[in-house]
Amino acid sequence: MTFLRTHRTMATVIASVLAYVVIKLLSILPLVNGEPLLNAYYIQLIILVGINIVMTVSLGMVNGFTGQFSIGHAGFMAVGAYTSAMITTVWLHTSTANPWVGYPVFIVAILAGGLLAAAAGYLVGAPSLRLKGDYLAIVTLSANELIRTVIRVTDALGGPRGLGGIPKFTTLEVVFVFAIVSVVLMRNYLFSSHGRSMKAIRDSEIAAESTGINTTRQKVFVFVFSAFFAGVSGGVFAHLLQFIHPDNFSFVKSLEYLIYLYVGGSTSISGAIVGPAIFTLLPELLRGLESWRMVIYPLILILTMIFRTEGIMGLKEFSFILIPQRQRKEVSV
Amino acid sequence: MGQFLQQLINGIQIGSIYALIALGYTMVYGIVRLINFAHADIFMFGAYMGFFLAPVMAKVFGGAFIPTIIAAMLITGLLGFVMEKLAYRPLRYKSRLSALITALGVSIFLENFCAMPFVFGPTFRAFPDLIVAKNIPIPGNLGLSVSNVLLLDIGVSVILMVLLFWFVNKTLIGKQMRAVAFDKPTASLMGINIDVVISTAFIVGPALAGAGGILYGTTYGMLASPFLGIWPGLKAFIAAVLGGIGNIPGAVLGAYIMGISEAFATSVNSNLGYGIAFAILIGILLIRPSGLLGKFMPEKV
Amino acid sequence: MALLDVQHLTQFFGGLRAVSDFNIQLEHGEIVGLIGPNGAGKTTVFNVMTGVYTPTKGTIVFDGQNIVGRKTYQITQAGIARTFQTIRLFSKSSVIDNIKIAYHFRMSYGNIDAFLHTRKYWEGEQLVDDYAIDLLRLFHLEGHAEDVSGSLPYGAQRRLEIARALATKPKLLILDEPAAGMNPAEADELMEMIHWLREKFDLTILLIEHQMRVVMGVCERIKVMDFGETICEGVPEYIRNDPRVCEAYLGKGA
Repeated sequence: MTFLRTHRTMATVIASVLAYVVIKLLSILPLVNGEPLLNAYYIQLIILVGINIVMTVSLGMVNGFTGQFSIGHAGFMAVGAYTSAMITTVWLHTSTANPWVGYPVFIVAILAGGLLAAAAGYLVGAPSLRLKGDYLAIVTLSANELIRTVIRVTDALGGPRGLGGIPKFTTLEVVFVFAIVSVVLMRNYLFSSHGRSMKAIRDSEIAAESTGINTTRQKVFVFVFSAFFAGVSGGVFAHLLQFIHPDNFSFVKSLEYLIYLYVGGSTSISGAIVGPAIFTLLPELLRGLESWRMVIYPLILILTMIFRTEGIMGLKEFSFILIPQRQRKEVSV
Repeated sequence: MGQFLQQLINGIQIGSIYALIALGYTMVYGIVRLINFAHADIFMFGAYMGFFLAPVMAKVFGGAFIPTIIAAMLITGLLGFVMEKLAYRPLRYKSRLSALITALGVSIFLENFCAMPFVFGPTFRAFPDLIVAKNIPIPGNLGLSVSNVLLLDIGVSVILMVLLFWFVNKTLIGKQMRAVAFDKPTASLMGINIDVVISTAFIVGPALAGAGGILYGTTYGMLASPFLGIWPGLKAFIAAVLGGIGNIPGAVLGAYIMGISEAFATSVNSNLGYGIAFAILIGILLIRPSGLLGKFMPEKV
Repeated sequence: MALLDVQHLTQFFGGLRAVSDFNIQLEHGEIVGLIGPNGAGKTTVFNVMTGVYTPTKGTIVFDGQNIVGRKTYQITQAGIARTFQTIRLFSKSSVIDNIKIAYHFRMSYGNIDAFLHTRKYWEGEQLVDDYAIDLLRLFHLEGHAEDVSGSLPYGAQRRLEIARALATKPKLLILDEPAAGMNPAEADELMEMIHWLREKFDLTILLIEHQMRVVMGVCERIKVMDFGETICEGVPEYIRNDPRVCEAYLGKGA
């Protein structure tokens, strides 16, 4: 029994490592006219896919599995991005020149960004999750823009000029580890008693409360850890772009994550992986239609909502997401 | 003192435009419980209609303002009607969330579609002068003056709001709207045609936003891009929530609070002026979750 | 001492008095019915007892503790479980997960174990899985354990809702119209089940029901409400012949 479980997790890890090796080889081996198939631009896209997956899966924890409607996820991303960039760049002047110093600082910095984002999540979530209806949507939207305003008016954060000179710590390897660890942690949480409580709150908050679940506490906790992962994603994002600006994290950015989530399928982790992967890579498939990108995306979203309300994946999960069920003894009744 | 009054006047001016947009948010929400995010883009659409129609109207009618605003209201009303039919009606009996997400989709679509070069184009456009701007000094020794544009903004908003109150309170369809907002299933059993009522809300709200768009263009003299609706729309939406979403006088009250506080904050720092709306909203919602004039409806067990 | 002692319970909604001066004492092991015409305030009494509303006035002592002002989940954890007038299952979750959710507050592992799937997590999951499947067997639902609960037939959904309430291991079970939508044969089964539940789980049961046959057949004591007031109280035989009850249901002169 225990063997099967470790075996399953091992299989997932081996598959991920294999995927990494393939991508890495394609970016090194001179396959096409002496050039690698995946140039730096493609690698950057793949890294973005990883970041967007973590953003979308964490948003799905709140919106899809707990049934709340948060629409300001980019605000928490901003908190993480600015916090980590301030630590690595402004205060400690780290660079990628010495990775033995740089990476530990980077890791501490993105975790600090995550924690501060989680704290912001608590401030936003604790009062508004007590209320039912659309309040969470309104408050998260407002908080998103308020965070952006605070960054804009704070000169120490670069204000409206943005913050540059951030060392590029985010590599393909970093994003692989980051995405897999984050998704596995959230997947684990979902497949636990706490995760079942989340779904219970989504299906009927009143019934959840009357089966002894402290629904407010559970909702706030999910919201806070979702903000944490958004914050860490923001840190990873900042150390990819090397320049961040308040406008990177506007309400419009939050909307993009909502599109990824709901087209992929908000009630499935697999959906929250498929959605951002498709939409981040789609412009490449639609070469020449680049200026149509933001016309086509919302149309896909609307059509999905009308014809397949539950998104591409619905309630289904890829088998590597699922936790194996234990065999129950058959009892004849 | 003079400075204070000047900011107050500015605030009332921008508040009037917010009010016209906020009314559409609140009407639609009251009737179908949908935050129609695309409403902001209808406002934008109205402003662009002003840009394209004003020269034509000036030629045909001599004067531009009144025919332009009426034409823009008709077109945005039609746009709202079509939008509801195509995007929201198929989702009416599905989850409320899917309608909300569709509204986001419609909003992003309208912005980006209108920004295509063969539609409105993504670039700046100067808005035609619908009236000749003049400054009218206020008698007294404070050195204040008001522009005729400001008087026009406030005047048009007040006229339209009075018309709306009359429409909602005195006409049959207005009374039906209130009945549907109060209790949709019962209203339906009383023989009210829900489809007609919903369509009406999706015509009247957008028409008001269209008028707001014309006033916006006249006031600022330019249209930045088809994304111009996002922030005024968001402010107006917040105003509607602030006043108690679903509540018509609440939306007007919220819009003026929003406009005035924004004018004062902007005089301190322009970035602060932008952010103040959100701070006020969060503050008010924490104290009064249902907004200033809204009623709190507990869920039935 | 009574398991439940409700004194002078009064509930206003704005100016409307939904319940006025309601009193009830339940002894351990009793089955008591609460009846009355629509709008009499029965469900409001349930909602106040389970913390959905805070009463305007009155005390509710359950198992020696005053539970007025406590939250719904705290009251459930203290030992009062309920079902709803309209079924409220976790309809997208599986049948067995519905049971496991009700066991959540007794689970021994915390958030960290949930993220990391520690040994404690696996032990806890094993425990709850055994517990849930055993409970489902008692209600003949084990064959549907992995089905989505919203897809069950109506009668099975009703049974699952009761099983879920029992998974919280209550001392007092309150049933809001358990026979609603049932035909006479199903109602007979339900009556049998209510008696069986009491013996098997050592329960005290309070129920609201409109089907007189069920109320009369299953309850040892009945309380009748009308317009928020208690109009009479007694054994089924007494209630059946009380003119005030007849009047409440059918109007004066009936």
